Amino acid sequence: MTDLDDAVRNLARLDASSGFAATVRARVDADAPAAARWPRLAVGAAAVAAAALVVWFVGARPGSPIAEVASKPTSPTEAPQARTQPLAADPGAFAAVAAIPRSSVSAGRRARRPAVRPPMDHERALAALELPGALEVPDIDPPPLGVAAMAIQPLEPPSELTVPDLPAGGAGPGDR
Amino acid sequence: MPSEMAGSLHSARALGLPRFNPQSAIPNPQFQGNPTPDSEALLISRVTDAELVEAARAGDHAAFGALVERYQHVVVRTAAAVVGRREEAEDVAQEALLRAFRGIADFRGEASVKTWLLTITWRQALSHRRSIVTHLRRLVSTSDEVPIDPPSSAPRHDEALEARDFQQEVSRLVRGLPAKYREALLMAATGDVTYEEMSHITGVAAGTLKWRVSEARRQLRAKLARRGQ
Repeated sequence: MTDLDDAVRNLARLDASSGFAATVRARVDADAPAAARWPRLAVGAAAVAAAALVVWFVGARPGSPIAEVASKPTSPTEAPQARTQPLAADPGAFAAVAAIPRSSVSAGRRARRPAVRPPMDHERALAALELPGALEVPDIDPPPLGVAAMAIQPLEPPSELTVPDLPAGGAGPGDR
Repeated sequence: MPSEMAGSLHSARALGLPRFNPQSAIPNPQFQGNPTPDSEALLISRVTDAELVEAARAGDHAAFGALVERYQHVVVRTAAAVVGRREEAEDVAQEALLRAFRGIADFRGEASVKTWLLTITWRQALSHRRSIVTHLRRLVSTSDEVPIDPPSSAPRHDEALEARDFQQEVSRLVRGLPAKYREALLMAATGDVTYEEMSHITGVAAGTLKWRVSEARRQLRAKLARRGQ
């Protein structure tokens, strides 16, 4: 065993402090078992569900604050009396609102919101632009590639062909 | 160790914790009767880990406390091999033991209780070291890592100072080792676990662990030689 090994062993052989075990035992004793934690979770989940149900029923009742909010117009172009008239006073309007799925108040608002933008009419939009006829493309087929080049510099065929006179039946320079 | 165990049992009794009755786990008739603290510690020392686990599964907190007493040092050393500092190592060890208590129903007995506890501790320590909170805490902290106990065999004052300097130098060099070398070196140096147990705990082959320990020692010797020590 060298000095280096002794020093490393001194580093590694660390003892737990005197109160370590007691602290762990106290934490173990304070820790609720899993079987005891589940009922608490179930009670908490049931409480949240009950609160959600209460809000849902209160919101569905006529004259409730949630129904009042749902009855308010979202567009300033709507009639002022529609903004001040309670929803419960108009059975027809209440029935219309009640027909809206309760899952989303914003869905009801969207259903009652008038369409601001008309559907797009592309032909009318193009006519409104009054485009000049220059944009109309002439119906001309483009020339083939080689033909276009010949149109720029046409070749002139020779006026007459000149054929050199060859001695008839005589020996040429290579005939030996 | 038996005296420490008896003392901690008394402290647990002072905390009002439920007490493990070792006589219920040992059918030996010679231990029947009212036990004294010494005989109680002796009884607990003879109870096997499996019996303590069974009692803890049945809801006996004191049985798990006896397991804590039995393995607290090796658990803290394993955590310290990863995280370095004593305070952090004890925090990690506490969390690991609490996690072991919560999951004691899942212990199948395929490995020993010690290996099972150390595996949980190892994973908890790795998770702790990787957490961003640990990095931030180390940025603002200036305290040294594992405290160093100077060798008590130094007979003279100057030799004690020299040994302390050497110990501090080794401590600093060990901290500078790569993590995989440092962890293997410190775990092996505890003498509490075999290479096979280390392999089971860390998931690294035993041969690889032996090579890492050897390489860590070689690097330490080389650095000490460069410093003329």
